[in-house]
Amino acid sequence: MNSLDFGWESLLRTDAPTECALKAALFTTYDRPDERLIAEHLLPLVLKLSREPDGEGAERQYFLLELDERLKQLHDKLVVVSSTVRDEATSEEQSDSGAYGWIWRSIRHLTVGINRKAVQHAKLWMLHWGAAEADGIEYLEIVVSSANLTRAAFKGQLQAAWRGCIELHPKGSATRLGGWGILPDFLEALAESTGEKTRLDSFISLLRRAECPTGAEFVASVPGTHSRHALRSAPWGAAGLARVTPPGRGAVSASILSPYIGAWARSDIGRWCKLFDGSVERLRLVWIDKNHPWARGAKWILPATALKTLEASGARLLHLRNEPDDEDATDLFHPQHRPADDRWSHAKLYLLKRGTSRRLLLTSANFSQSAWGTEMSDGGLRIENFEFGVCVEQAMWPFDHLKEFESYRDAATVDALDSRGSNLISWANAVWDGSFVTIQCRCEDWQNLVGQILSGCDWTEIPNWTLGSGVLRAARVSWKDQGRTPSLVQLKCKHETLSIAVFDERPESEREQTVPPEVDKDLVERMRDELLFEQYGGRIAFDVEDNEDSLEGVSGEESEKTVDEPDDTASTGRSDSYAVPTFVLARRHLQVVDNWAERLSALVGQHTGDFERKVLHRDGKLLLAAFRRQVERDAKHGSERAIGAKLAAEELNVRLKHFPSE
Amino acid sequence: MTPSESLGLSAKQWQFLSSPEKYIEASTRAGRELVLESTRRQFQSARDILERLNGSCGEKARRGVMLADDVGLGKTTVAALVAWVVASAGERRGVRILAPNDVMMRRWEEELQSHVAPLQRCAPALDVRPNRVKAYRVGRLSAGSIQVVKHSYAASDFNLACDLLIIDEAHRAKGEHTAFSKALKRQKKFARRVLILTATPFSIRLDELQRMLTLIGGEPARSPVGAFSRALEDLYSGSTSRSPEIVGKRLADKAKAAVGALSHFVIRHSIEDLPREHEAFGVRNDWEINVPHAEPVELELMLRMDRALRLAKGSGSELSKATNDPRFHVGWRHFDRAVTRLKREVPRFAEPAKAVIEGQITAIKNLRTKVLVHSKMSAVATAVKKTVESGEKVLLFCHHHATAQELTAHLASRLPNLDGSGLPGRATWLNAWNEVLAPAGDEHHEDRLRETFIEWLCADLIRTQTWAWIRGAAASPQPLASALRETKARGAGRETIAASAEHLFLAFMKSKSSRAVLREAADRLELLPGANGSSPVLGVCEPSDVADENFLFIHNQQPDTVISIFNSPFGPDVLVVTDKLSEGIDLHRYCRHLVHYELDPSPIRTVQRNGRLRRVNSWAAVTGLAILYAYPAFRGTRDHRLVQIMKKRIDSFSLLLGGVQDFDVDEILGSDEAWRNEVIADAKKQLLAAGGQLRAKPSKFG
Repeated sequence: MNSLDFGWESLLRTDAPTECALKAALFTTYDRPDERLIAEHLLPLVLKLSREPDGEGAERQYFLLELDERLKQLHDKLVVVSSTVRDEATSEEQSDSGAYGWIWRSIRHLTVGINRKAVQHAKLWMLHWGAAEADGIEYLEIVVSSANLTRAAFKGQLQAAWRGCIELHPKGSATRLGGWGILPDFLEALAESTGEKTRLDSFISLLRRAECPTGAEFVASVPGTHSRHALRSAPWGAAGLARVTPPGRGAVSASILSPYIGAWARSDIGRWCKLFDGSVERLRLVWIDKNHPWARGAKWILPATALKTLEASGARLLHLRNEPDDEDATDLFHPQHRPADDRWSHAKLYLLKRGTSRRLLLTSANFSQSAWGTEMSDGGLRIENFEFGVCVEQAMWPFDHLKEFESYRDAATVDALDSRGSNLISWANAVWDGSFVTIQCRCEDWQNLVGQILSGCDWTEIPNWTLGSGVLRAARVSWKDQGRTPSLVQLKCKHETLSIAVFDERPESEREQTVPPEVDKDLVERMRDELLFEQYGGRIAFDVEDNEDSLEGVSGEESEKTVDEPDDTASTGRSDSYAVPTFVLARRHLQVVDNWAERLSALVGQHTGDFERKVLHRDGKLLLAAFRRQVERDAKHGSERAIGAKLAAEELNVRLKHFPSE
Repeated sequence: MTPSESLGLSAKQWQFLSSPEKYIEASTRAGRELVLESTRRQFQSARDILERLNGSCGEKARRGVMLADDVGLGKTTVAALVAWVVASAGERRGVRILAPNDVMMRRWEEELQSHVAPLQRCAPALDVRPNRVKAYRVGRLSAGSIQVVKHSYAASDFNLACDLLIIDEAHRAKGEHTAFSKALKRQKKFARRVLILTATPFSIRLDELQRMLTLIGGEPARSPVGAFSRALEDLYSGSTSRSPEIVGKRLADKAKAAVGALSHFVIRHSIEDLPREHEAFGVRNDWEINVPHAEPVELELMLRMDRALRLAKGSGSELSKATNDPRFHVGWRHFDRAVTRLKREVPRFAEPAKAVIEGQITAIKNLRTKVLVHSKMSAVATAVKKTVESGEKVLLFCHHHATAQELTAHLASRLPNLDGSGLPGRATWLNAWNEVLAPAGDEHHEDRLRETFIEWLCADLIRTQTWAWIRGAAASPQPLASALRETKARGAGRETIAASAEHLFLAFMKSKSSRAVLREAADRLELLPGANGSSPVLGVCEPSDVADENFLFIHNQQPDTVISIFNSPFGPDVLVVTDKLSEGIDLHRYCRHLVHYELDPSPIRTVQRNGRLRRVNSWAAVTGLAILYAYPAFRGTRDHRLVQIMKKRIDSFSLLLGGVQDFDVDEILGSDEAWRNEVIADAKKQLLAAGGQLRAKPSKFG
């Protein structure tokens, strides 16, 4: 973790220079991604939105429109990969996230498991940052953590994270790609499991352009049965641990901090340790006692059988103490960590030590065979989960001082692990191209599969599953009404229900017309225009209803008083400038054009500016239309007011005719 | 304060200053009428200065004094009297006067000479002779003489050794590194006494004011002056979120302390403090000229130009530094020239700027076909025409030559020509004027010049004007001559037409440059303003390069002749000038209408302009009508904003001892300016009281 801040939002921050704009991003999570977390916390930070989500009235509307606008700019450039999104018991998070369901029109949400059952448990983020105008350098920011994309994960849990922000070279190279170890293979395997084999290629291409940070090595798991031979070239799961163990002779000791311990058999634990030259006797597990707050509500889970196995094998349990009122009797994770902090640790950390050499693995993988794999008789591994971790050298381990439990009976345990359920629908996907809604899914019992499509408050049944074979089924539902945007598909098979968002694959011109449902349709055009102006340095009305002339601070009407009389605008504060309103307005509009033109000229000569060029061309066209509308709006207050917007539109039109070809 | 040796003068030598009435009488006999109240105050100032410089009547001798009277109160007169006393009181003393330019040098020469006759009569203790005045003659200062030289002379290798150094318009010494400022620093040790004249002590930068104080031995005032100056700086640049009452009190306290300290070295009168003299100056009023709000098409033209120039600038053009040039708001001539120049540059610009600018130029050309005369110019011309038709003269100030040219041409097109039609014939007039202006017995050496002058009086424009004043007289020489002798010029005032003509001729004779012009005009009468065509409009600026307009402008750099004519009832009724004529000269004798067509960003300049008409014995005082100042503002443009701010600032000019700052209209925030006005309003009472402390003290010995 390279951030010293212990607040819940520290993970959402970026190390990319402030001027950089996001070009693409991949986020992986186990849990159903929480739209409210994404829309209100993650996206405002990474998209550098200027509006706050918790505003009221017009401010709220501006926020929604700004977010929508930025998502449209990045349409299909943001990808979230999660496990299947079965509807669990209604939680608070799920119920109040619905307001932002529309974000999935532009964000590609994929689930794993098209070909076989799989659990996406990795928490890997990759963010592609465009160049700041000043230096032309792009960045790849990689975050490896234990955090799922839920508010509970951010606000209610302590997470471990590693972040690297790496300069991108203009062109890629195979050597640089090789430096990333197992990461490119992991991305390929993940993409394949989502049913979109090439979906993550752009992120692999970024790895070709970036040097892997010195000292960082990656350990990953992908579901499947991997032969011993295959593990030599792609050391998934526990096989990867051998690659990151400190080199040398002598036995390796391992210390583990993990909130979830799987149901290990004694032999399995031993084999797991042997994979990295370790032994169970040299295994340390940081654990909590029965009275620890994290033991309540089964936050930290250790099956009683696993405890017995560990004890019998010679592994040692180190006591992580907690006394909310006593700092001395509480083992803290961080200088800013306080005993009263009610967040529970979701971090998964592994310290591997050989002699004085130590390596710290920060990963999504709990200490379970689902994550690390079960060794088969031929030496291969059978893995259930996608996991991802990063290993760094000589990192600090805050639990060296912990003492062993005096009695293992004091350790918190559970009787048995929950079953993961039947998982009849293990994968699904839904898109709308403007004519059809296409739904695909993997269903073990497709004869009992039914589904419906949600638009607004109306449900439309999926009439039949006409496509596909075996457990993979698909339906194509005619859907041409642009006014009724399909938002969600709900699939049911027996007692299992699964909801998936519908991705919008319509042409850009059609997508532009759709706005978030919460936004006032009567104001949307004007607000969108103003947001667009603001994005290019223009000013915006704070409250549309209270400010009819829409451009705050500029009085549209010249005082008709004699020159002797004090100017009302000066004393009332309506205008805080002696500059001429018509000029102020015009310059404000033309400044927008200037800013747009400056961004364009900054791209000239850059090899990596195709995306930005497209964005600017799109914005240029939108700005032109917006200025033309502004002329009409301003003209209602007098023709002199409309001059500025008229000149801006006129100039933009000329500039667009000279827009540089790719 | 460093004690100084006495200059060795005796208070008896300026005893005449105690009897202004006698002096006025002597002056009237010499052809210069004076006003008692003003003369009394000027004499009191002169006496106070002499007492302080010499160390008389209980005053300690001091190194120098600063006279900081408001514009128009006659600082030159006061200083000229002091100069004469010092130079002509025996003991071989010499005086040097540093004037800012040629115009002012001539003004000084005239002023000094105008005192010769009355002093000879009223000050027997002085040996006043005209040849003591040595204008333009630089070099060694002979004993008993008064040398008038330009500021620039101070920077020469000569030292300015003298008994009294008078520095006129000292506020021009702006900035520590100006040659003038450096020169004064070097020269100060050579002058025994220094008299500094400025209307605007706190308009000078603090450093400069401090240097001026050093020149006059005013070091003890430096600290409180610095504090007030900083309080003024704070007023214009400090945070406006503070309480106006507190800032106002602080400002007033600092002003009081500064004035208290300055009172040893500075004498200052404000017109507002002299109610008894108001009559002599004339009442001041605003002249409302209603300029319509800018039409959208006019604003569009300005905005397109602004945009085109900005883009051109971004493309490497050095055409115009000011894209929103103030000239674009008050006329079209400079605007059109800028378009032409821009068009020439376009081919070298890169796309897309090139295409955008070309589009702007095309649009501008189309719009210009819809907008012909500038709205402000048209409105001002209407008001000026009406005023001229009522028999008045009008003075219009512009800040730029291009604007002055365009305004001159437009006014000429709007005002009817005075072409001499329907009048008695030229020969009749010649005869009449020859009779009226027959030379006195000993003046025959001026016959040729007088003939030329009479030729000028018979030019179409002058004849038409004169006929208007005596309309009804018989159209033959004898009755015409009688009418000229009996009728008041312009229907009012103190002079007959004949007397006015005589005075004008004398003024010409006094001025070397005017005599030269008159001599040359013998063969080219059109060199004299008013003889070239029949337009009542004259532009005193760089002449227009439009051939048809050539006759509307003077074509030499010596405006003495124009000034003399404008100060007479004859000649052009409308004078369009630039700020070259805003300082030091008199234009008040037959004019009480002033139009600030285009403002300079400096409030000092505006005050100086107004001072051209508000002077002792002004036309306003003579006619009993008000002096009218017009600040026409083109609504909807920066011109309007500039006028709004300027009016407020000049209102507080005197109150702050000239401490008002230049401004850029685009940088001023309305709320800040409102706050400043509130601060000044809060401080007003105390400031008024403080200012009064600087008045000249009545002599303790009567």
